[in-house]
Amino acid sequence: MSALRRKLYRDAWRHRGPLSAIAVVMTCGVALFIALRSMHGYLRERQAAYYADSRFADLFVRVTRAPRGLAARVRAIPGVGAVEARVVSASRMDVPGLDEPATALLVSLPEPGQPGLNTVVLRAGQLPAAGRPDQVLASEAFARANGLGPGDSLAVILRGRWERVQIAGTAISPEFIYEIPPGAASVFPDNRHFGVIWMPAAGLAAALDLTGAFNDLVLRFAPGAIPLDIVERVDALLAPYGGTGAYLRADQVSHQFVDSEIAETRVTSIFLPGVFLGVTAFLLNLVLSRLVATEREQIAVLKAFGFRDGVIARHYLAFAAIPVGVATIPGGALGLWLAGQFAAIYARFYQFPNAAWHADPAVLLLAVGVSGGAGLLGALGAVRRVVRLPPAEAMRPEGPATYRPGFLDRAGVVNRVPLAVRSIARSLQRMPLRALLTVTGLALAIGLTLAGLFMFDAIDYLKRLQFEVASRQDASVAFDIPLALGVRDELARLPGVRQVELRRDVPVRLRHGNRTVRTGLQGVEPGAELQRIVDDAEHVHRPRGGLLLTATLADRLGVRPGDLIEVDLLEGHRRSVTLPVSGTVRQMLGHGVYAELALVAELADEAPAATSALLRVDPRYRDALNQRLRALPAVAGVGWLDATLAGFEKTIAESFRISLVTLVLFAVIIAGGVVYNAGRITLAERGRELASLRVLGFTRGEVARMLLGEQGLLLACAIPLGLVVGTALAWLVVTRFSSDLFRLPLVVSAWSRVFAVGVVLIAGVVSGLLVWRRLARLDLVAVLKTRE
Amino acid sequence: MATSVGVVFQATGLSKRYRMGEIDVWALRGVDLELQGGEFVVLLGPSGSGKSTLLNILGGLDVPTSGTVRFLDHDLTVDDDAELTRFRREHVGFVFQFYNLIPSLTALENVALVTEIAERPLDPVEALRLVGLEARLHHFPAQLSGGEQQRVAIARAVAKRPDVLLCDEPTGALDYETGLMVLQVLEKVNRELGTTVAVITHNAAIAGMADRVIRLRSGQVVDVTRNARRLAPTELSW
Repeated sequence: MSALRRKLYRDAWRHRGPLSAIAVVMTCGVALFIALRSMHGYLRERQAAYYADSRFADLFVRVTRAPRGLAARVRAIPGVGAVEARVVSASRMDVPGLDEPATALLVSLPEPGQPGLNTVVLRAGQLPAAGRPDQVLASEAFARANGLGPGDSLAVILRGRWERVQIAGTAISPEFIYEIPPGAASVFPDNRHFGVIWMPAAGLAAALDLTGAFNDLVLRFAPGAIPLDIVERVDALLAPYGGTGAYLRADQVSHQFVDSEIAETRVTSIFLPGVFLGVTAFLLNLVLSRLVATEREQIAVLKAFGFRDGVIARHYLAFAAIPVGVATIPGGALGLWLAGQFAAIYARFYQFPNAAWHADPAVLLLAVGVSGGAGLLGALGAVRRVVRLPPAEAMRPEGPATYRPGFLDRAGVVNRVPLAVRSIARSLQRMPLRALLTVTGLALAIGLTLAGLFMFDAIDYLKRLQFEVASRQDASVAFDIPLALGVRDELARLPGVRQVELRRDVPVRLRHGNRTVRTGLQGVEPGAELQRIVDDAEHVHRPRGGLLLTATLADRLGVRPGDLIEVDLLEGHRRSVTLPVSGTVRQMLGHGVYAELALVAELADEAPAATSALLRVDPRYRDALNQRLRALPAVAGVGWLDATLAGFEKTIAESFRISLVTLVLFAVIIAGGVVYNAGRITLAERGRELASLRVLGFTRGEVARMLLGEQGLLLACAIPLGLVVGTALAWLVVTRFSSDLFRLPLVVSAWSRVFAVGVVLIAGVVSGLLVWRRLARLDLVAVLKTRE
Repeated sequence: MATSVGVVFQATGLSKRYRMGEIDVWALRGVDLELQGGEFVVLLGPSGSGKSTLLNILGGLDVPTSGTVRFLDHDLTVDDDAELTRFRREHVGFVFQFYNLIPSLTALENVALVTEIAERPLDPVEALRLVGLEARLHHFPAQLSGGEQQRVAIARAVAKRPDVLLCDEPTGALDYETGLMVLQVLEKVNRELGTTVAVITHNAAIAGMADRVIRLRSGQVVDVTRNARRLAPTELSW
């Protein structure tokens, strides 16, 4: 081993504390990079493969009843690749082990075999056998939530009659990755009470009086298709058959959710590792600069002996490479492990089939490249100084650190504070960039923790807004067909029902200028109390005398209160009317348009009717009520709010806990690494100074206060900045997460702030104690004997 | 305030052993020593003679392996960091070869730092006037020459009115003229404030300005001489 190599290893061993801290931060960066990057790539890849394998449709449209022959005409539209005409209907379902009725979305399955588009992936059991109209497939999430499997049976209502069906198998489909009932008031999946049931087409069509016809059509584009052109033609073709307006995959609810969440992981996969690698570069720069400063004479000797600049530069680069190299192994391993964990969690969450995760060598290679780049970035400044150092100058000891009156002196601030503080202030203003970077590192640590905690605050807030402020019913009952308002009295007579509120939902197309949005018009009672339209500020809005639009919808249409919009009703008499926008409401969840029940009836040119009811129920009568509701043929489904809430909480707990723990842990590592290294470097730089103070009779505590005071001051500066950074990150998350369906509120609780600051403070104190231990061991005599 | 008469330091049988890797090194072997109040003593010896170790023990920076050493009523053999710190704080002023000023504080502030922890300190400006630096109060160490920095160090050491001023090779890093100026300051402090001064050096020429000269070699006192007449620093030459 060459002498220079030996020096390298000994130097590294001597600096094992700071280098370890750097390696740990770097490990986190590498691990996060690999984990998030792989996960994003994996999700995109799985999504694309799943969509391709299942021939997921590009366009979706509902009709009332169209002859099957019409499908061929749709197929003939230029740009259409494949068409699948189906029968789809919502129905009430009686699930064994479930007291309340559940809702099924019945989807026809060709006999025998698979549909041409949106094919299903069998997860257990088999496809319904030929000649067995009573055999069905159940969606996997629904089956699992209810403990059902192949061989179990359940009952569905077909044409007002209970029919028993047997589960032949469980399946998943890209159309229902995110499973919520059509037109649901809640955007949260409730897998116990809602499931997709695929039934043999003939039986389903017959039951719904749709033999030889279809009421739902999906199609896939051929290469080179012009989507909007096809939408227009499909609508024209299907309008006479009750077409409710074709929409593209981008507006398909399940796809929308999955796609926006995958997009989110990409931002995270760049931002989070970036923070860690940036902090690593900074710490490396700190340590290496210090090493070069103390080794001036050694460098000069090496140069005097004739070592070339390149060799010496390589020596110090190699020093930087040690923590980087060391970090890639555990970082890579941790990253791969985390990637596997994340992949498993998300694959389960998104129900992607064939979800075996495998390491992507390209990501690993990129991780090595990126971490090497960060290392190089950190080492560059110090190594440049090594190369530039003339041998003669290097042989002379470095003079006392150059201090001049800084801006704080000129501002007269410094003269008013105690000398110890004065010394800290001057030391900080002498190296403002370092101070700035230290503060930034600490602020990022606080910010990351806060942004992680914010997710919980936001979800808590949403939960409260949705389940306490907006929805105050105990149960909601959906009807098969619109019922006359007399249903209110019928429901009120049921056991335990204390209050009934009716709603009428109609699919509509809204038009303003050349903008069109297909959505649901929700008719509500004028004094609705059980389900209220609530904005961000928890104010209740009512749609008096016109249309009340959610703000996202109003933005999409480009309308403001007072504007007129055209409303095409996509049901019944299919009238088109022009109505004023009476107001907009900035809602967190869902998008839609509201009007008073009576207005909806007037628009539809029908007697006032309801498609669902909200009930407030005496809990003692819950079972009795379930029984009675189950017996009512017009009831398509019953949803209990507490069950929805429980499902919501379970989903959140599963998907967020691991990321929060990871985030907080990593934030602690950043904070610890920054405080510890900054403290160690300050100790190294000011060791003589502090030893002289000890000799002069200053106690260890007084000296520690001067040393750690600097770190403390930086930490104090980092706290407000960190809170700002955290809020900014939260804001970033809010904007990235916002979709038409879902908006996160920017709420950060006081507890989260305290926790984020506390975590970093504790990391700071622990690092401070480590430095304090070194200070206690400071050899006064040796320090004073050495020439700087 | 320095005592003008009587013994301030009393050391008997002082030994100090260092462990250097695998071997034991005896830096002091049974040193007996007394320092009188107000005395100017020069400890003379080559490198490795143990003079720095002796100074460190007298200054409460180190403790002997065996033997006793007392400063008035302080027992300096007790290895108690807080106790030794208090002793240094109340009684000792140090001057080092490499000045050891705080680079982020001005000359005045460096002195003021010490007067903040002293009970009856000199005015910092007064202390700097004593070393002839009244015109350089607001300069940072980097803006001062080596001799000026050493004079600030002396001002800092005397500003808290220590009973004893311990100087470890105070002129070691300075050229002749500057060294001379520093010695004049030490002499002045001894004369005007009555502070006991102990200077260690390997420069025999400096011995001429002392009341007593203690010679060390290989960790033992080999010779103690008393000068009949103290020479003024200007009369010294090396």
